[in-house]
Amino acid sequence: MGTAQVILLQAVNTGAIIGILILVSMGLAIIYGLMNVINLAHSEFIMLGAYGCVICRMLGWPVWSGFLVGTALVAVLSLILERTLIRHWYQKPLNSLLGSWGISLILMQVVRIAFGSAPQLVPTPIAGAFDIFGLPIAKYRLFVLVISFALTGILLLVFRYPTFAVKTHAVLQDAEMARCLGIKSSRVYAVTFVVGGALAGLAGTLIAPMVTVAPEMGAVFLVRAFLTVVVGGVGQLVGVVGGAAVIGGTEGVVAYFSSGVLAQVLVLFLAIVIIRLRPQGLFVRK
Amino acid sequence: MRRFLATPLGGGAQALAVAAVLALVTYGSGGLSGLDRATVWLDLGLFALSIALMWGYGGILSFGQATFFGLGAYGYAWLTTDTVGMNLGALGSLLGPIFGLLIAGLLALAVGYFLIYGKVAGAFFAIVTMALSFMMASLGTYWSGVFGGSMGISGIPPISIPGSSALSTRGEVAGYVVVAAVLVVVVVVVRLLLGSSFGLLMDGVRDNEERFLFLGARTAQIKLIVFVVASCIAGLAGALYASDARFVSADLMGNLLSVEAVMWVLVGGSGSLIGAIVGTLAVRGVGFWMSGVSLDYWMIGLGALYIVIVMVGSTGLAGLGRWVMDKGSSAAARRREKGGRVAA
Amino acid sequence: MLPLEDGRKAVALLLETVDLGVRFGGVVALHDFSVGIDEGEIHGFIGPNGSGKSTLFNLIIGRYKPRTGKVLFQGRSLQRLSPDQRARLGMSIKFQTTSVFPGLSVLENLMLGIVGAQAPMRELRRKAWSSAERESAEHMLETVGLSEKSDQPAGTLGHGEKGWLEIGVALATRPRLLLLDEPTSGMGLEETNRTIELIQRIRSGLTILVIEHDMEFVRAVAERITVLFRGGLLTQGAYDDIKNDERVIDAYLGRGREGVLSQS
Repeated sequence: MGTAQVILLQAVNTGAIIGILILVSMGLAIIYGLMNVINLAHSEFIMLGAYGCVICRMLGWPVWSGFLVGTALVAVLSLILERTLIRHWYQKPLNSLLGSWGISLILMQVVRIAFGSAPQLVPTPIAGAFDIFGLPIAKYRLFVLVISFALTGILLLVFRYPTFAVKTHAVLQDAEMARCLGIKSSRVYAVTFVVGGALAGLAGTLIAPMVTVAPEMGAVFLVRAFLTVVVGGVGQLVGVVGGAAVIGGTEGVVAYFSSGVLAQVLVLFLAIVIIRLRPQGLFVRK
Repeated sequence: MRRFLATPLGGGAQALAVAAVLALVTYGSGGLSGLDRATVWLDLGLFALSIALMWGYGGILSFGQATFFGLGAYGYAWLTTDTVGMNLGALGSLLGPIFGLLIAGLLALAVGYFLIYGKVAGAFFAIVTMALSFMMASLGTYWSGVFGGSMGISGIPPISIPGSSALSTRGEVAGYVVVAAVLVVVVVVVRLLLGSSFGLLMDGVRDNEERFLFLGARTAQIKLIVFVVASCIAGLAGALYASDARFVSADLMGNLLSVEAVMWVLVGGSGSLIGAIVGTLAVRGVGFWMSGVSLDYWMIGLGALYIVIVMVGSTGLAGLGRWVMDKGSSAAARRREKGGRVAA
Repeated sequence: MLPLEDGRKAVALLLETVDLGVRFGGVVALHDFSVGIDEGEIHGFIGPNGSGKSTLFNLIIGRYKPRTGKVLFQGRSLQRLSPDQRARLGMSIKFQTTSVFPGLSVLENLMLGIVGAQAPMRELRRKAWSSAERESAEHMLETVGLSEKSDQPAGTLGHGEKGWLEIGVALATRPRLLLLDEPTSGMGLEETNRTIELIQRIRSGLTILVIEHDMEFVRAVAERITVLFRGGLLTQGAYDDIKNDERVIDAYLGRGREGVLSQS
């Protein structure tokens, strides 16, 4: 393969990773940005989305139903969790850290008991590859890339105006106002949490054919997402995109030359250095 | 009596008492193997103590302290097995704990410098340290040559005096006594630290860091020192763990242990060193009992425990103890534990 | 005290801002701000809401970085100095929103003021609460009038008491310059008077910079006053001079009350 072709191949692969990372990180960021809740169960939302696809396969349903079932499953679960547990931890990040960790453990263990620890196989919705410049580009990866970036674009448009710092402030103030007027701000929070969770679930359904589907699969995505948010900066969604590009991109590039694990470690240390140099995040105006 | 218990020596006495009770209970119910198990629990209790120091007194929450615990364990393993060609035999077993403490401290210094001077704090500090823990465990699983891969390193010898095979911790009682002794010494030393002027500086950083900064305090430096000292203790605990469990694996550096240790501290009461030890013993003890029943469901129970603790609040067992001893506010009780600095 | 240079200035400028300015987004919060504080004086800063008082304060203490100009303390630029470095140079602060160490006792709060700036590594070797330090802390306790509340957690103090404690803590660092941001905010008449007394009691050997809304307080305490308006310096002088100044009255639309910015 010529250099240009290798670069193209890597670009598509890395692009898909970045796209997924954006979806996962967005979910994390909007939940934190609005409600100051850090959701460590986010990784299990991804995992459950993937297992939604597994269930569809086991039931013999068409492959495409996986997206719907996985996302819906996670969305419903998010709602239940929010109503029962998460809402006690608004504006209490440390409580949410520990509490969501507990939820994460429970979810992982339930899946382990129900499905076993062995990895599951999920069929690819779009098999085969395009022939671009004599290079086999997996159709599915391209699909994931396109879908995730499209979704990102929509999300950025929807949340276009205020940065999250301002928005949080506004909603917080509005919440008080709103309560006086009889409007339920709790509904806003619930919707936000469900949207964030659903994004993770959707990401899980998208990556299911591409990675090992096992109860612990979510952890590595969660860690990447944390680094993305920390490096990119909290407060603006654009920061998340930038952070994902840095984290995902660096990992993709390094992984090509060495191994996946080494790449992850390197990215972590890179993130730590970046934080030292620019504590507020790379893409947030001071 | 209360005043004595608040002194450094008083803390040591409490630790000794806990160790004695634990020994009696575990030996009584499980014989020598029960004692052996309890030794490992004490190592973990020392680990939890280091977290209580950092968090309860220093105000720094880390979800990645197992990184240093595990690294300390590996340090001991490297000096006493042929894994990396540094086997120093019995001498290695004596140097192991110090070595483990040092490498843990060095890593903590490096990571801590970047994070603390980069003003990473609060919840963000917790999640970045969590990422560190995750990465180290991944690295450990991958790098078989150094970390033993997914099989870990086994056959680790216990601490023994070079040249004298009679003096070693191979026996369960000797092993237990050594750990208990280390625990008592550490409690005394840490309490001395807390009673020093530096302890006062820690109070300031914990209680209102920003205000303290504007009073001229070098808050970043103070936090870094606390972080490094706590991580050194964690490394020491890890090394002792390696000598007692005779086996280490990358999981010892991972998230599960990191967060669970935080939970032990919470169960015991985050403002208490002794409480951290007791909390560890409580959770580990129940876990052991339950694992006989069903390991899977214990995991679920553990998850539920996190949620319950968060809902209920974190005065924990130590708070209960203090409430029994005197009905003052827990802030007053905590101050007393630090050596009775305040008048009366 | 610096030696006389040209026979006119006998007192040194302790703090000076030169063409200080900053903007947030599109809003110019402060511009071309030049003012000098003499050593030993009590200097008041007043101005209606939005005039830039808080911005000025935050620029001096190092919370914000200026866009233009600089702040000089004893002739040295504070440009690269972090907030704690500035504090160690001799600038001590009392914030507007009460900021004590809530979980610690009143006496411990004061102690933190006394030892806070020490080198941490050195403090490891010293036992806490040496008798000299304890004496200083107790002396400060008396000065701010909180002797009876020595062991009480600072978080449980009343609003006014917290304010005095904060002043005490700031004083405990033995500063050359004390900056007070609205020390009487939220205080009633009785508490305000006590604060005035406190300031007059502690002022010797100290330079004090006060930002305030309360005109009575400013009149009782400040020797010189600088009036801010819309981010700029409007005028300077003694209280009696500026109270009759047309421009100041316009800016406030009424003496001693929060004014709406006049539309002109």
